[in-house]
Amino acid sequence: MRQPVYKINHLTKIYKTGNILANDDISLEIKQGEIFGIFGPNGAGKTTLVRQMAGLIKPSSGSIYLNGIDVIQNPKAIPHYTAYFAQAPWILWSLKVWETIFFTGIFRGLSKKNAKEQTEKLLIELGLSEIRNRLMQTISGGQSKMLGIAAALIGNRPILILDEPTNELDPINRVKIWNLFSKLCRDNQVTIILVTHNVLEAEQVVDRVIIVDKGKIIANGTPGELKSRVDDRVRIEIKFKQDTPFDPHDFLKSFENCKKLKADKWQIFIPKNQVSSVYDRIINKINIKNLDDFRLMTTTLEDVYIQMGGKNIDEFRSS
Amino acid sequence: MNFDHHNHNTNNKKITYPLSKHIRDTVYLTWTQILNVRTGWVWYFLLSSFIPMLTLFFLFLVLGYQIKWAIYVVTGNVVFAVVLGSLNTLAEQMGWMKQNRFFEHYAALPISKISLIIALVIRCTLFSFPAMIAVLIIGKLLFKLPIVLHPILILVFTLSGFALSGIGAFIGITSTNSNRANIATRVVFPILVFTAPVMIPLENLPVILKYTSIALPTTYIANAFRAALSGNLSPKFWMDMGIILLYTLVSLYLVARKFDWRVD
Repeated sequence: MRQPVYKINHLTKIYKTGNILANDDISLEIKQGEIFGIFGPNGAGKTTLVRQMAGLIKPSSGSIYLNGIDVIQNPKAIPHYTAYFAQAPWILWSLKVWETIFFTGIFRGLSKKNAKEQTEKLLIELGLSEIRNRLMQTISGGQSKMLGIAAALIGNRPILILDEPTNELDPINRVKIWNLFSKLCRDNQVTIILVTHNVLEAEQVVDRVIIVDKGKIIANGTPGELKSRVDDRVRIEIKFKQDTPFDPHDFLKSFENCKKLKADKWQIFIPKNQVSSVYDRIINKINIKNLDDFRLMTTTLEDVYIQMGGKNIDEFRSS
Repeated sequence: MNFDHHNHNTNNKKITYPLSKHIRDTVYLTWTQILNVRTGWVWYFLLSSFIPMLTLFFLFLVLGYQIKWAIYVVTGNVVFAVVLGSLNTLAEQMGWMKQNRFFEHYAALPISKISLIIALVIRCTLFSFPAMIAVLIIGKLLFKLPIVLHPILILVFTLSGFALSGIGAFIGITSTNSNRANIATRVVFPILVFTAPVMIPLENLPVILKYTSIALPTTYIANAFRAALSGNLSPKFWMDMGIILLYTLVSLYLVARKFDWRVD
């Protein structure tokens, strides 16, 4: 059985400035080697939560234990186990890319030789070799994110706390990063705590998820558990070719939960047990050559996220 | 990669770092601070030296080189440069770092606050050096002062930079943002430079300032500079140096005590 690395009990954070309740009675456990997703709308309190876990903010009440250590009393212990990737920009703008990774390794206690070796490896692994001698102030937002991930990885911390690491990354780098995270967990039992808005992509890698809204946890479980709690209908999206001679209006309107999204795009929600019959009906009636796109989608973690946030998926998707 | 899951303290004992780690971290932190100024060091130099040099030239043009207190004018402007280069710069920078949550970058690393503070103080002191030297040389040339460039000046420069940077750091960490730090330095700056016997002799100060200036570090810094430049390393010089050292230690202690890089 996997050991819990973080145990958080009744954690509450009220910012003194503005008397803002950012986290409200949060309790959770994160186990070693899992990818733990923290989702929620902007201003929900996700970053406040991870910043407390990283020891950067003092909680107002509650407890945080990291590997059995009370880290509210002993916040200095946290950086020995964790690497934190912050949303905040870098301060050392005139360091070179390689220097940023190298010095982070040095401060995590690596020898000069080891820090150099790991820096070289990470520069290659994260595709930063070509910009290794560029100053931080001259690199793009996406490159800066990749550099931040490299800096988080140097020193081999067993727990990575990553606050929106894939924002600004192009699709290729996003895939690279998600694969890297999966590999780290699978091969090295690294625990990854991940705040992200890329819910659809994160769904592929996260083991467990919480959804935070207005400072409270409103859902906690595996992606499968959460998806089963919400609308389990299947969504069909049909897009017609622009010059199609077929007028689908009357036919599609015969389905109970059908909505016209655009002039050429329709959406139908159907119960899982009717998928086969509805699919046959549609394909038989509408010649496939009249279609530009046809999608059959089960509930995603993003649907859970939307629905848990108090929104109706039918309306939200069609709005 | 080798991920060590339980390689550190797993009990609730407070973590304290050995002196060797403090020294190592301070050296590397200082090095990163110096590297980080690689594109902006000219501005540091101009910021610290422009006003003192302008003052020197102004006094030279108005009063000529045979002014009565030439040694005070020159050393006063050197102190002026140190205050601008170390105290003002560090106060504003730390206020700015605090405002933008830049201390998080360091708080998330296994390093101590004091290592970072010392690194910042060293950086500011080092970058005050060129301005101090430039003001001193130009002052010497303009006012034809028979000053001695004794090696002890390096120690005076360093200790003065440390003491004033320490005060700057204290202003920075007690200000909530860079604007407030900026306002605070604007208040502190004239007090340090104009109410102490920096530009003019102690006996020419108003009576009340003769007493209040005892509490100001610039009194001792200016004394030490004048003594070192005239080659008069009397016991009083060493006493002044001792007081400057005391200011350094007290200000660094207060900064380390008061500075909390975790948000409340």
